[in-house]
Amino acid sequence: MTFEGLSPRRIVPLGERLLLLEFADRPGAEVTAAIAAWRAALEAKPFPGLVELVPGYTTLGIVYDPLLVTSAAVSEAPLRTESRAFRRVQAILLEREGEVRERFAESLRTRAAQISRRIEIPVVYDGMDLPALAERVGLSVEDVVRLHSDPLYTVYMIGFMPGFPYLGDVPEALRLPRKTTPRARVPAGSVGIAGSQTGIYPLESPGGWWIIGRTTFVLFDPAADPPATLQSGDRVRFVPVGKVSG
Amino acid sequence: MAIVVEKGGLLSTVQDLGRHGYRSQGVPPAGAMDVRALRLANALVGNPPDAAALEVTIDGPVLRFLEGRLVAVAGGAPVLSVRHQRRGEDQAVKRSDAGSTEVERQGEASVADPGGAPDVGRPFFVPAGGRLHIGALKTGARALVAVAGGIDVPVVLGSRSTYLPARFGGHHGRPLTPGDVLPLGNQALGTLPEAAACAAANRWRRVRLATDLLHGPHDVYEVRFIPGPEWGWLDERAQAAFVGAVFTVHPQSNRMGYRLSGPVLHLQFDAPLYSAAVDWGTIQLPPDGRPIVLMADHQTTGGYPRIGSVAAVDRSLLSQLRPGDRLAFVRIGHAQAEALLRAEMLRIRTAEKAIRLKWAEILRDLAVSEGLNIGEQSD
Repeated sequence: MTFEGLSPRRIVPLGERLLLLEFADRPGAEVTAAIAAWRAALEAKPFPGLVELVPGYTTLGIVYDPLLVTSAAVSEAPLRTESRAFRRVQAILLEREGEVRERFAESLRTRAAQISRRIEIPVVYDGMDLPALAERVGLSVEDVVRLHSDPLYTVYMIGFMPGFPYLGDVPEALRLPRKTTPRARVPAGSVGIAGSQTGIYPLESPGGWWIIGRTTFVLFDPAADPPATLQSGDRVRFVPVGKVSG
Repeated sequence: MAIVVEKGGLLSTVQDLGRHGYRSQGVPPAGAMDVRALRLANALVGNPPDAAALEVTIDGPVLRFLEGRLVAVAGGAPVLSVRHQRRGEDQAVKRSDAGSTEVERQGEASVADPGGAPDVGRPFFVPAGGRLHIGALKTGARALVAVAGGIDVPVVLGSRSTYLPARFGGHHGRPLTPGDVLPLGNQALGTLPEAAACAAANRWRRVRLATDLLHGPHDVYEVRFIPGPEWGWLDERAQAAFVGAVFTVHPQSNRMGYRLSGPVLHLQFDAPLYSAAVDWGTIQLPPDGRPIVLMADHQTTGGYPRIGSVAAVDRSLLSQLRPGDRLAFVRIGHAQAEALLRAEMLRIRTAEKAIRLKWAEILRDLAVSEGLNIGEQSD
């Protein structure tokens, strides 16, 4: 991890209540580490008006309440510019970059940053798209299963729906773009592939990913804290099983 | 202490100010689509801004009250009536000063009504055993129905809001259906005795919300937006088409998002986008070239080009548009949008404060203020 990677490349507003700290063009281990470092620093010491943080592949989404951001700043020099809250949050973030570096350096020393949870997820590889995907990529079904269950994946982010993990990277040989016509109903527990990503549908929903298997692994429980079982930064391996137990 | 659902209506859900802090878990805010209407309806029955209310859509429910409560409706304007069942017959009631029962209390015929006839924008009283009929909406798409004391369903992940796609929150995570029993809270005016509540409702008869706080019908609604990170991916012609055209709300629109029918917009170039946080109001452009505006139940992240964001000040307006309604986008800058949002929040808080003062005056006159805590602001 280079420390340069901790500097956001851009700060992109998306409406008046959300901005994105953007770290790179494409995802990668360093980008994920930078997002985690910023998230940890801002969670440890939230600025006034911070609502929540939403990791993405290459970004950290920062949701804030513009009214609280500026009401907390009234004692300071009045901000001339009209986009007061956005400018204020931008300034706060730039001020905090040094602190993020220090925390990150400290976590490297204590090796805390290198420890991520490892989770094994049992999968029955009998998905409805498995034969079609195997044919499209020119491999046998057995090879697809072997390749998909080989890597130790990284959870880049949770998104789309409650508890849905975006995992990567899928081996090159298995990469296919999303299906042209999304399925109206993908069952809960379905394991799918789209490009370099693989993921699991926690709930039944429409979906355009290639469904290759299923699991009974519970991904979301509103009564749990946190409610999503997997968290961004976790490492995951899929374990082929003959049939789903339980 | 509860209300019984006798008819569910088209889509009636329990909603509050939303579920915050769980987007990193893939859980969106949900909450009332028309936040302004929720806050006003809550204020009108003495509730705090974050009390849970019913959001009813297009055609409302029929609710039987097991105990008398003050009710207020804001946002879209439904046909409202309160009826009292007697001797096995539906008989409309009018509560006169003498307490006799007569004709139906209905919104349109409210002028000479001494009993706080049900109307949008001011509190009215539904007696124990009374049925509140919330009919078709005359204007708007969603009405927020607040009951004094709030709807007391369990709090899930910090909120009582219903999140339909994952079926949690609200009343068992689903829309209301006949037979549902909704528990009511006992905060604030929830415990106001019936006689006092009735008298108080009468005192509100001549009070009306400023019309700019209500949803008024238009031929084409103007919705302000800020250009987004991929606005430049549209060529000048597509940008002009987006701003100049009239769009129609597509029938496939819901609490997750509004699809818009209008000119098909093509990107002048395309590049891979990695999924990132999106928000209420984000205007996405999927490959079919038809924009989607994300709403309260939006997915937490998205990977489509973001051509803009609906200004937060116009959230209530957009929430009140129904399929077939026409809208035109008006471009504004980020700074202007922030200033407009600030002004909108000031307007809402000023209205809430005026309503609280009115309530304090009424309760003082009725000498029932002791021990009652009227809609303390929670933010």
